[in-house]
Amino acid sequence: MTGPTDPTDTPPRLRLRGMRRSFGPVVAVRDVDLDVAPGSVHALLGENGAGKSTLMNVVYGLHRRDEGSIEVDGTPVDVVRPADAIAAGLAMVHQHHMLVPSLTVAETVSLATPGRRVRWDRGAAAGRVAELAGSLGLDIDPDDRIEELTLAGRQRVEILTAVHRDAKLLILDEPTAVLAPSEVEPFFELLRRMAAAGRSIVLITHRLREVFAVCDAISVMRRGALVFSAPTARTTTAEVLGHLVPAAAPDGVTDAATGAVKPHPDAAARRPGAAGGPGSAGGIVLEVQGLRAPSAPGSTGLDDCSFSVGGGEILGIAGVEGNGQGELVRVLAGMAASPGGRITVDGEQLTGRPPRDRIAVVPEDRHHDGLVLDLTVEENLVLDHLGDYTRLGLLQAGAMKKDATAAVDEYGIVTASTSSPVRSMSGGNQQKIVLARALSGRPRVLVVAQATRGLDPGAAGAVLDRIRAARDRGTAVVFIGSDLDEVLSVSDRVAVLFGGRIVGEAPASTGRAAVTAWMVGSEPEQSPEKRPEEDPA
Amino acid sequence: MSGLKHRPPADAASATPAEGLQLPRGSKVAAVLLRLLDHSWVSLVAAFAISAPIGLVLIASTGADPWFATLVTIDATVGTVNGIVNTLVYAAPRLFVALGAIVALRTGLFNLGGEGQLQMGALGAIIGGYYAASILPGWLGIPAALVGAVLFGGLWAGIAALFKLWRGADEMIVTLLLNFIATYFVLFLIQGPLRAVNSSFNQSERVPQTSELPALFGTRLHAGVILAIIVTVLVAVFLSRTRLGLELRSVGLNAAASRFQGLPIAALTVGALVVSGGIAGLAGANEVLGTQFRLIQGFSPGYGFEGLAIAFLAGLRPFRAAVLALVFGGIYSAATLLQQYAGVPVSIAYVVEGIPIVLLATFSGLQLLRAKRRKG
Amino acid sequence: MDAILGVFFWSSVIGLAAPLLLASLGETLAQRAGLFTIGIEGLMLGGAFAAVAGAIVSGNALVGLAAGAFVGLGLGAVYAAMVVLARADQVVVGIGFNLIVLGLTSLFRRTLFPGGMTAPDTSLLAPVPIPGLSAVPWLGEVLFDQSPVVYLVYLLVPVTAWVLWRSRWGLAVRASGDGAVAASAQGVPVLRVRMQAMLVNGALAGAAGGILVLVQSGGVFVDDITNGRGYLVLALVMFARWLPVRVMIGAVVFGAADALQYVGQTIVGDGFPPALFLMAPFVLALVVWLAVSTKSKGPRDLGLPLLG
Repeated sequence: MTGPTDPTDTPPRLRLRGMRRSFGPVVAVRDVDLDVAPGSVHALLGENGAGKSTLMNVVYGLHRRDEGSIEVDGTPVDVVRPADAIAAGLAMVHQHHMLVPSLTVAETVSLATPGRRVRWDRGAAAGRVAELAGSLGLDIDPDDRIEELTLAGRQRVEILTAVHRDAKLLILDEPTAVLAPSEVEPFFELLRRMAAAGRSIVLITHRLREVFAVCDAISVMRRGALVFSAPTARTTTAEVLGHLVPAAAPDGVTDAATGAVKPHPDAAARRPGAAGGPGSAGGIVLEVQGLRAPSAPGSTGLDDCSFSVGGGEILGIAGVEGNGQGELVRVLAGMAASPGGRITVDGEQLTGRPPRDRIAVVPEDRHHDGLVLDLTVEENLVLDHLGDYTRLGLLQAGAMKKDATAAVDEYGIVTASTSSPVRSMSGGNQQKIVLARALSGRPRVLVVAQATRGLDPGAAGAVLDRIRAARDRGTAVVFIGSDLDEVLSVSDRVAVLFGGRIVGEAPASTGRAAVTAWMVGSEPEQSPEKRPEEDPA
Repeated sequence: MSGLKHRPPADAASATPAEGLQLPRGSKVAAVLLRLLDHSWVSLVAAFAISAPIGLVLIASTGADPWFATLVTIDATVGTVNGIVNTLVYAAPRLFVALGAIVALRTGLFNLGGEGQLQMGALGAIIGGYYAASILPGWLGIPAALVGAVLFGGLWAGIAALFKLWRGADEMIVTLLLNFIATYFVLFLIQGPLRAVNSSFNQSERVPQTSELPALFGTRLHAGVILAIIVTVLVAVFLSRTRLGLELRSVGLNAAASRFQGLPIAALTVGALVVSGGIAGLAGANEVLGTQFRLIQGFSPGYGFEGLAIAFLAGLRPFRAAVLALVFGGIYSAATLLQQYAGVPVSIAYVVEGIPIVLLATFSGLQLLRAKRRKG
Repeated sequence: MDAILGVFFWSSVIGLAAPLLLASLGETLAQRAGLFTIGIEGLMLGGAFAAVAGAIVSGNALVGLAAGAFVGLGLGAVYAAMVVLARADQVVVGIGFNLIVLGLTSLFRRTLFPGGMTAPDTSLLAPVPIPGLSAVPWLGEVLFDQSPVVYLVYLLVPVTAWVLWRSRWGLAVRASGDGAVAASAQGVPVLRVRMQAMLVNGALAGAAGGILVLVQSGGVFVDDITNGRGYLVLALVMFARWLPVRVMIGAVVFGAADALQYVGQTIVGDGFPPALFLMAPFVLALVVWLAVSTKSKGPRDLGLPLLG
């Protein structure tokens, strides 16, 4: 997109030509050309799954590229592994940090900096780290262990590491996702200072507002291709938004490229009778009071988390990741205890693992917690209620097959056979199995976490339809998501989880501005209809 | 790209004290192991086809004639009735150990303690088949011995489960250590308390004839071979058709998801190791009741690790293990005959058995790497 | 009781601990780098065989010891190629590897040395009292009247600690075992570091086998002479929580259990069964496991290949 004929004297800091990478049949990065100028902050925008992270992982050598060339300051470099990228002066700060947990900050920084000497001088290294941190205005103790740091702290260590080895180009993958609102402004100042010192920065993000605040140039990716690239000064929010989200995305239907659901102007209006309050359709079913869970690196834990959900209602739980979502799911699933907390379903208090006709959970990570990938469809579908299919210790293969076939039909699961392992299936079909199992117990409450993560648009739509159908049958649904648009479009009411507690609730149809404010820990402004992210600057 | 790769750390960090139990190693290793060992028959045959000529070269290095060695090998395996009988008899104990290992490995538990469990099983067999049998009606001799073997082998493996649950000790190390403790304990017993009166060897009294596994066709062949086949079928059915079997496999393939679906991980860990040890214990009973008729020093030439090797080569599949046990039995039968006729040390069997394992593991590792690179 | 406190007993303890300690230091490095070496039994056994063979052929025990280390290094290289480069499963390969080495050493003992394997002269490895220090009653006699290689082994404890925490390579080793993917993303050549750690482990295990047979067993090689000591090493490294000084303490404790069989007769009299003494180190290992804290989980990527 960027013209290869830039007639400037200095070559670009990073020049990509024809970058391409496929995973099996999926083309994740499609013939991307990109130039990043020296001393600039360059935004790489795109929805989830647009290929931003993959492109940069390829540049950094974490994935091998199928085709394409990489030049740094006019010199071609062949990046096969991260060490090659590092040697060329690149550094990457990952979304989920790539640090060795047991090392100290000083050790981490030294590890990433090549040295010829055999001896590693602990004191000197700590001194250098402290000094450098001071000069960058970062609050870092060289003797802290990585595993004890917060996600924001780990991010600071990665940036420090990059500067310490004098990287010419820093790639930052969604850096603000882990920052508290008050940390964002200083962080942007840090980026500007680094750019002023001659370093280039690629900022991967999907938050439009950040881009105009801090970047010199903007590129947009969609479906693996680079569709737009221009200096910030020569474009507008509206233009960028136009490339980011093509017009005429059909209402309530997932975007073909990303699987993200576009917000319907008034989602609740589609269903008569749904107003914004618990119990409006069928009385309170789930009531949660004072849940607590210890904070951990990367998460705030839960701190007096309370909410309630009515029958026939979808309560969306919005929030930046790491604000207690994981713990909430585990507590509701009976996987973790909550001292002092109380969970009641239909007025009956639950302890331990809830019966499957009370609460059913679709966990966030279906590969880790939801499915046993090498077991068959039949086996996975009954894993949590094997007793129903056992006689004298023997599994009733006939009954398992019959019920599995029925579920496969009902949920539209595509599989060669009900006795194939689920590993070979697509993410969407896998998620349908998890959902089918959860709903097969006719639970009063359905808890769904990150329901559409990693799914293609069709599958995501089908999964959401199933969740809505459960709601329509009177189930109380807790819908936990990190994609605000999706949460708003699916839910009847949205509660915001921040710092481990619910800080606000609003009807999904009108609450966007308030929810957005709560998510970053501030109070909503007066006009609730304002949508800051989509306002043209 | 996948949820697996970029799992947020919050998830990993939110374990509660109630989950103090360490997940079986399987949560990471055994699921991979199963796929790793998913070789075709072709690559299995290829691995032995590479191993066999190396064996012949080693035989030649001892000064024996490779052609003669080949003929002896044929005689010792399929060429003569005696050869077939010996192969079957040598296969049985190895198969019991392999089947036991399979049950544990499928659960994601590295039970490397087959040797110790078979030693204790042999002890249980003597206690049931000699001491208990002396006060029981004759027809109960064999059942008492078998029950003793299963009980002793199973409880011995259960120790490793307790160490794992209470102390978070790695079952791999604990079962390895228990091997030596069991072997020396049995040695201690047959040097002292259980030693046969007026015997010049370290061995127990002979079991009464009623406790012996019946011989078949008037040969060395005995009912232990049939028992091994029955247990193979039982293990296969247990793993694929029973609820417990499915639960064990589920834990082995993904302990985290199994826990999320409510499977009792701790109980299943104990159960898998006890069942595993019980089956390995039958190897001891097989030797005591079928071939030696006593508990005798050095009765196991290393069945423990050979059985484990069979389990690995078989990709943790019971019927494949039965076939491979025959192959190992044949190798050992040939090696003993070669020692007799050509002075070739019997230890050559270990080399010929070990090479295919190393080859296949290497091979599978490379395949795993290639698949990973392709899929990202 | 006198025997238990006697100089002879404790002096043998220090000596018997040396091979365990040496192999454990190598294994500590390997496990810190993420390699769980079930095959260490085979590495030690191969080293022991080569040491005696080398001593017989050259007539020099030191050459024999070097041969042990060298063969250990070679076996370690093969092992590393399989588990590090080819990403073979570490446990599966280890089991096969041990079978092969057991078979080969036993075979070669019979074919190459049909008259038996006894090193002709191990006087070069005989105890050398350190002047002055060895005169200190009890402690000096116990510690400073040992074979020179035993001194060297104990000197390797601080060296290993230094390497792990004060050298760049040690930093890379720890990172490779505790976060292989992250370390790789930071530019650490994880595969190379693991290869190197395995080579060191092989050489040390080989030398340990050599010391075991040349210093502790009178230079006589018999089949399976290591007899599970490799597995003791694995247990030792794990409950010493991968710390060299604790590894040393553990090795001495095991050495004491080992030495019991030599003084046991004098304590209990002829009636005491030797099998129980042979069992002692293994029982001790289990008991220690009940006593130690398992809080520190150890290298997170232990036993796992680096994929990608």
